Amino acid sequence: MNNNLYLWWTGLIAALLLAPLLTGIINKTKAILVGRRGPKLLQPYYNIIKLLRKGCVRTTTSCGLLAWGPLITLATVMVAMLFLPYANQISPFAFTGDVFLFAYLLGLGRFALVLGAMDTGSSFEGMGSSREVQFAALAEGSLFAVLGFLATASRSVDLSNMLTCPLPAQVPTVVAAVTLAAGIAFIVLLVENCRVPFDDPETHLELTMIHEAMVLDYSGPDLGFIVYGSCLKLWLMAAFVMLMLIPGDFGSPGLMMVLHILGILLIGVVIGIIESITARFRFLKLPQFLLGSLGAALIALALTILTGRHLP
Amino acid sequence: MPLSTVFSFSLFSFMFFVLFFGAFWSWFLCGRPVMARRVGAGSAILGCAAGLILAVAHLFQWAEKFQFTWMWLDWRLDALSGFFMLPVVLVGIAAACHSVGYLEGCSENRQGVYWLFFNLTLLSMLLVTAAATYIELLLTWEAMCVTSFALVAFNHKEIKVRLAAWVYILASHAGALLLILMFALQTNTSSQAASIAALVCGLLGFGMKSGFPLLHVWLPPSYDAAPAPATGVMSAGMVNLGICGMMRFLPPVTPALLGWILIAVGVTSALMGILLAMAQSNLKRLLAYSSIENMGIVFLGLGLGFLGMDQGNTAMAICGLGGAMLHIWNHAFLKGTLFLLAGSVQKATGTVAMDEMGGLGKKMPITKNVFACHAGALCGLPPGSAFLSEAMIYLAAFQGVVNGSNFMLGVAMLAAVALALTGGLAAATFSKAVSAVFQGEPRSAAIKDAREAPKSMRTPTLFLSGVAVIVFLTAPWLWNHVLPAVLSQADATGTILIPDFAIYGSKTLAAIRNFSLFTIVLTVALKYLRDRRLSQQPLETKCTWDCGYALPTARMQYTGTAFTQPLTDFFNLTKGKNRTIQPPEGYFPTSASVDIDVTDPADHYLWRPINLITSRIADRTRRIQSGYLHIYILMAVIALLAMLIFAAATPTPVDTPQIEEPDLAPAAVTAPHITVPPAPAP
Repeated sequence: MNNNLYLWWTGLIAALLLAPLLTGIINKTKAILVGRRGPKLLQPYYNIIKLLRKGCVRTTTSCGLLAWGPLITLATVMVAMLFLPYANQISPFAFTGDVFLFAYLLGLGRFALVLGAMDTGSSFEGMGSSREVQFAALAEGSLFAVLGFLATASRSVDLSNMLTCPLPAQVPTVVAAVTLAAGIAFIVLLVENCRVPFDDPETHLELTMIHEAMVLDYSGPDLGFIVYGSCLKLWLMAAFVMLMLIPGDFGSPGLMMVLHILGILLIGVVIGIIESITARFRFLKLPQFLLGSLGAALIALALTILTGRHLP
Repeated sequence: MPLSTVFSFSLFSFMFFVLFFGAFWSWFLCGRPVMARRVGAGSAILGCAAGLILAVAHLFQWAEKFQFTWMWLDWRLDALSGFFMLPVVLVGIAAACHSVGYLEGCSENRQGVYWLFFNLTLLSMLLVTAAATYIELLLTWEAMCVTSFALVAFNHKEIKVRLAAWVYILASHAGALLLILMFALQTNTSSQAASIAALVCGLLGFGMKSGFPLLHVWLPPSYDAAPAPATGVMSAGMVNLGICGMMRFLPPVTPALLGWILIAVGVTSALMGILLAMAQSNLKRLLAYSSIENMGIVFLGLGLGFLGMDQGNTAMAICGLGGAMLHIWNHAFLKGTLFLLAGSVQKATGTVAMDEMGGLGKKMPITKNVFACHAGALCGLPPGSAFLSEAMIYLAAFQGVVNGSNFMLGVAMLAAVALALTGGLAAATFSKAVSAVFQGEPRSAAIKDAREAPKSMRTPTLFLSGVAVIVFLTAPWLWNHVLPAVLSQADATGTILIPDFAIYGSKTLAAIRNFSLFTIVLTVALKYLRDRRLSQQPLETKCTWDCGYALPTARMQYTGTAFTQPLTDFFNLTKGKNRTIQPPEGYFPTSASVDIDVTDPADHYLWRPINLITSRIADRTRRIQSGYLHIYILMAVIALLAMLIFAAATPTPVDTPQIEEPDLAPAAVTAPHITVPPAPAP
């Protein structure tokens, strides 16, 4: 497979530019499904631009970490984006073991945001952060089980090769294993990006928020950075799931790029549908659900072993 | 005699004399605290500086490794000694500076005593790394236990401290006893059972110091009881010495067996350590449990490495062993600093209870910044140095997943998942620590008058941060040039891996370092952009929004205990009878309280029942002590008779093996190298 670097860079720039659109699509889907007109598709862009233009109010309680939260969150997501194989092209920055940096950069972003939230001394931020670290800690296991599955199937430890390795689609157990693992990756996406059924990004009650409660005291450019950062993270994870489902090389570069972006936007539609038809789970049930997903990921791994390890 | 040998020898004896006589001199100066402090701290720093040169010279192979006899005992200086000496001396220097500020206000004649035992502890720890045979190891090990016991018991007027010191000395001696047993059993080389028993004794004896699960119960209370700088030295230097001892003196076994044991120990230790750390509300105990967790990560890495050796998976072996060794250093420097910072906080506020603190960040900005950075780094988050070592251990596990047998794949996968869960829980634990101590508003009156730590306490923490940064920046170089030399000195790892070291790992390390640096640059660039954008409008500051409530108080903010309560409840750590709740009652409740006592399950379910049973048996046997002399004589006669009959019944062997034979000592050290099956081409 000849690697088209232009295509990869196009993919990266598309991700940086189109990420807010994914949020717009989710909101539009939800609106259509419940029979509303809903906000414009480009509304997230307008929101981010508006926030970047505004002034900033910070709390007097802060000891300085508050201001670093948005910066670190955005920077870590941006660096993590360098390792994905956009449109199935190997990233020029790929190296053996970049998966660990990928996973831990997202962890650093969360750590910074949690410390920023706790810097306000508000009980709502405390509640949100406390829940966030709980679910994130448990989701970390599932994420690494999925990565282990990908490593087994592709015999490599860098994200680009893990996600682009073509798998034999005619073997039913392979299809089952990949689907299961992609399903778990999708659950990780929902947890990491605070979507229903783990968190409701549009809830109106602070007591039930997770991610939104953490950013209650941010305003202006600080909040703009956070919103843009979470858009990027959603795009990143959606691309991850999409690449798991469609590995391999096909067609002309232009077609691949279009399919890549359409696939990611389709995942946005799926998230929108899920959010419209499910209520969120009880908080107390979520840890069990997450550990269950870890178990399911290990089953996917076992399926791969049964099929005879190294698939390609 | 080559020049480098003369150099090492003179430096070694200089280090010994400075620390030894400095210790006693400062003790004699008890009545003059200023002089005692100068002599004590000065000799500790001077001795450690000599040790630093010695360690660096051997680590970078500027000085040849050599064995010598000194004070009628055999010593050995090589890269492995240098590797374990380095954290001791660097944290020793920092802790000595920090102690000066920490001890201010402590009763005057106690300072001399502190310096006496502080210097002796440092000295004995340094000597443990240089012990060549079992005699030296046991002597220095015992010296280390006794002198550090005195440090743990320093504030002996508190009952809590006395109890902790008592448990500490018991555990230390149990460990030393197991080591004596190991050396005794090793002399019987022919028997399979004896060698397995020797291995078990050795692992338990050394593991006692390194916080093996179930054997760890002494660690949190004694770290809590000891003065913070002493704890810093113990957590940075002493826990590693168990691993140092294992590398030098463990009886030869197949790498597979060692690998399985260490992986099991590592996973248990890491998960148990971090879960218990999360449940603590005492800052020093939290850090102590986190030491257990990090030692677990080290054992996990070593276990994966040995398993890789057994399977001929060179990449896995190198990443596992190298990652574990690197993690020893990272943990030492990061945790040493965190303990010193906890000492500064304790000094400023007079407490280590996190739920009584809060809002210290504004009063102690430097302490806060250093603590937050180190806490993040210790969770294994990039751009911290601990991430480099954890990434290598992950890489070892994934190499097992990619290239191992099916069974191996399962184990390596579980190891990776356990490591991931540990990482996530560590992030929760340390965000709790940072937020409860430094963020929000002060929760008690004592915090309101807190001041930034004096220069003598700030500078050492910055110095150690600098060391951590240097380790981070030079990690690929250390990986290629230092770690192979260190590992080649250990009997179990042998020399077979050295040439392959540069092939695996260093590229990953360099890439991770560069991308971490890039993340920092990007963050700073974003900060510049935002600040330029904001410079056009004045920055407003208001009280926390808190859903429109205009008068937020400190009582409304989340405490550390509340922060991790969902997780501790989920893992059943603080439920049930450990929790006493007095709920608010009536329409206008005046008081309500929750009292949570986090008991260590190992203590509660294992050691307390054992203690109970032992004391019951002891009570029963007391009946024999009737107080009548003739009954005692009768018992003695019966015992003698029984022994006579037993001796007559057993046939006498022709020549009895003598335990004190001189050639047995080297046998313990120069164990044959374990042969590793040839590695397939990478």
